[in-house]
Amino acid sequence: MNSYIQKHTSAAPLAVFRIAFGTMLLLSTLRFWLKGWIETLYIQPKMFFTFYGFEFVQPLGQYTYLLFAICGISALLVALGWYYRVAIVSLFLSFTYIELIDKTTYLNHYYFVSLITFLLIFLPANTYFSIDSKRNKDVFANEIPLWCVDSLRFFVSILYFYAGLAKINSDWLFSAMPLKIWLPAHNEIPVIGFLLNYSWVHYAFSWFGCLYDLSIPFLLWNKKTRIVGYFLVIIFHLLTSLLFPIGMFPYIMIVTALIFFSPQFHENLISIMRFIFKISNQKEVKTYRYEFPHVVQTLFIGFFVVQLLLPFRYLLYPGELFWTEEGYRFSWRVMLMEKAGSAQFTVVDRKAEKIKAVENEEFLTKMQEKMMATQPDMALQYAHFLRDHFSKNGFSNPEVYVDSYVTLNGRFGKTLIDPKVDLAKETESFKHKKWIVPFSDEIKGL
Amino acid sequence: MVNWKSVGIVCLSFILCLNCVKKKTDSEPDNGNTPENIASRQEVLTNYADNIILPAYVNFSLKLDTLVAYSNTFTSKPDSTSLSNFRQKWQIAYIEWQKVELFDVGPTSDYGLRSFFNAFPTRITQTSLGSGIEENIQSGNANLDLPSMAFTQGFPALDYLLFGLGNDSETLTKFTTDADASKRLDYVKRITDKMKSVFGIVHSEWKTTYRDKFVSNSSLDAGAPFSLLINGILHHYEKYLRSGKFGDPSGAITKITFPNLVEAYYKKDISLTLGKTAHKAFVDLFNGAGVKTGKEGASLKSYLNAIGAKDAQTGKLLSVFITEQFTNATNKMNLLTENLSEQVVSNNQGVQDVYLAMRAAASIMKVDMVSALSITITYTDTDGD
Repeated sequence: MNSYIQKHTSAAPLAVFRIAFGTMLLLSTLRFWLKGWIETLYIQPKMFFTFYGFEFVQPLGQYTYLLFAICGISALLVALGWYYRVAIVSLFLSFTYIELIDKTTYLNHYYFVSLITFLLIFLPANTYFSIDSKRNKDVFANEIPLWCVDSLRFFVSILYFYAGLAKINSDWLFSAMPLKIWLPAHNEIPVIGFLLNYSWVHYAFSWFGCLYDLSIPFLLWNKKTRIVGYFLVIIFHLLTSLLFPIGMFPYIMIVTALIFFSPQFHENLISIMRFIFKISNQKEVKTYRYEFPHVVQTLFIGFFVVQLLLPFRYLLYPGELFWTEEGYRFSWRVMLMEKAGSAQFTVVDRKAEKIKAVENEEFLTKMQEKMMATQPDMALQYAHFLRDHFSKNGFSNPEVYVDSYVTLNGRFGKTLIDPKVDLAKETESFKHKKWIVPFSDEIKGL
Repeated sequence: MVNWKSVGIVCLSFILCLNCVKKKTDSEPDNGNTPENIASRQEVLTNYADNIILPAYVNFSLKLDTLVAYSNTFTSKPDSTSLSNFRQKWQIAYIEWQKVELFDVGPTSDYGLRSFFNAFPTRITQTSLGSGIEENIQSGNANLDLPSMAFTQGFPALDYLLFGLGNDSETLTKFTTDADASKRLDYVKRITDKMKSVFGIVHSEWKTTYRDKFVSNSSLDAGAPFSLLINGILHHYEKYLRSGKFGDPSGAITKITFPNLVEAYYKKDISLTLGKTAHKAFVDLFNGAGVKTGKEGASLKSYLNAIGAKDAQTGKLLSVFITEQFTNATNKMNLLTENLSEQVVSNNQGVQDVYLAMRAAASIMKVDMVSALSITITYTDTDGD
């Protein structure tokens, strides 16, 4: 262990990673802005689904644009390696703040980005091929501890491997769900479209996807299989970007996986960049090594222990994970569920004998309504919002009930939330929500 | 030195891959191994456009033309014969309208066709929402294109003007010797002219440009015709058929009965027929039954069967499950009598039962069917969780 910590490697892979990741985030931010999503997702909605414990994260109105500007500029500075420490801290904070505003927009790959930026705060990504290292010789180092690069590789490996583990379940492997539903929807695309009508293709995609996720960390880590692995990364992610609306994620993963390549490969990439952007080489013959305070190593160990355990927290809850979604987020569970639902809320004032049927579109965006209707914790938040809204609008002690109907992976819809429970009186906590109607079927597996 | 080899391999594989994914050709290899019923949304859209929507529009336009003609006869020479003819044509056209109201897609939705034809309950006098029919008659220049004026025109406004002003002779008096008679006649003419002109525009856009646009894009993205059509008909079913015609008047949710909220409140004895006609039109669309022939073609039903949509637990076909709900709703409607405003008082549970049956159907279509179809609801990114 001690000798591993002493091992050093070229700073090139981390420098390339810094540039690629910063650039991707800059593009993501611009894309978000240009598509008008800042407005529709973070300014227009009348209510926001905050995360439990992060209720202080509130939308900033028109200043949300400023937040995105900070995020974009930070990403650019990170890519350039210019005022890196300040930029990466500000990138982590601004990006994470944005993601914490509304659960509706939660995506595993945003969580991934948040955590990567967190790790990058502590990693010496600016010691090489950066403006910082050019301006300040003290920053420069062409060798860094090997574990700095390995920790990113390990983190990416966790993402893939856990995503693969989550696919080991009876719906995915033995019913080809939800791909059986999703793939035929694209049967009009040229060349491969017609294939998507076939059942065997759905199964092939499911099994390949599972094996891919489980094996890709090993293929990338092993020198002999790396090229094959990377080729698979490209094929897999481009295919998913063709079939599913997953935005920048495939491209982020394609550049992220470069971290597995050898120092020589990254030196070559840097040479190419030097050539293209006409950047002169620093004439460094001497080796400068970057050394670390020990506390950072402890922090990283703690980080990875949490990362390895967190996805299994669902075991602490009774009931089917896909149905209750207790412990579902932050666990690299992607593409596992086709879940849809409707939730008709009624607000009751017993004293005045008033009953109001809530029109969800009055308060929620379509996206929020879709997410809320299938995720119990969001339904509860919405019920509380309705309680507060109606008590301000002439209802005394409003009671809130919901008539819900949810389908999961092709099973005909069932009631998700006990319609007799007054949600206005229920509270959020990490405990199991007893008012979730138990799942009527069984999904075997992890 | 630069190891160009490894860089080259990575770049090359990238380009190769981009190529094979992005390459476009229209020829689909026929390997003789195609599924029995290919799930073709294009066929569904084509059948819907050519055998249902357009023929239904033609049928309605004939009834509407007749209505407008008799409206003109009445407004130029109001007497008991022209009134009686006008009322009769109103009823025929109103029933025919039920067969087209559900197609809320393309130009129909762009122009908000329904708001010119069937926003009810109609607004007789000024409320906080805007002026009523009576004020509009007086002013003579209300802008009928404003969304706030939807409730002062169309079939419901004519319902009031033809059946809500008293008995036959009292009604006739309002159009002949009453001080505001000519203003009232002008307003009737304005309403029917508006119906004719708006429908003319929508119908002509469907015929000239939108039909081709409708059938040529079979994607399931939000904003593509297939998704818009499904959203449109489901919104219609839930809001106007289930709640508007049965749920709201019977107080199914609010527990307060509103006999005046029924469709054709003043005519009284056709509200059930209107509801049944609208429901049948919806079922026919689901089944793909041609308006002229009644023969079933490619439809939501056949598409759901082709993609094998069934309960993952029991294996029951989704299309069968939905059809059972339709049958149930129809049976519940058959237990009612024509005058729904009377029924919501004397047989409230009976009307609520229709609402409940339709609610079940709506939930299943909105949730199970939309999920099975994999319709995208927004443009935002997802990662499928």
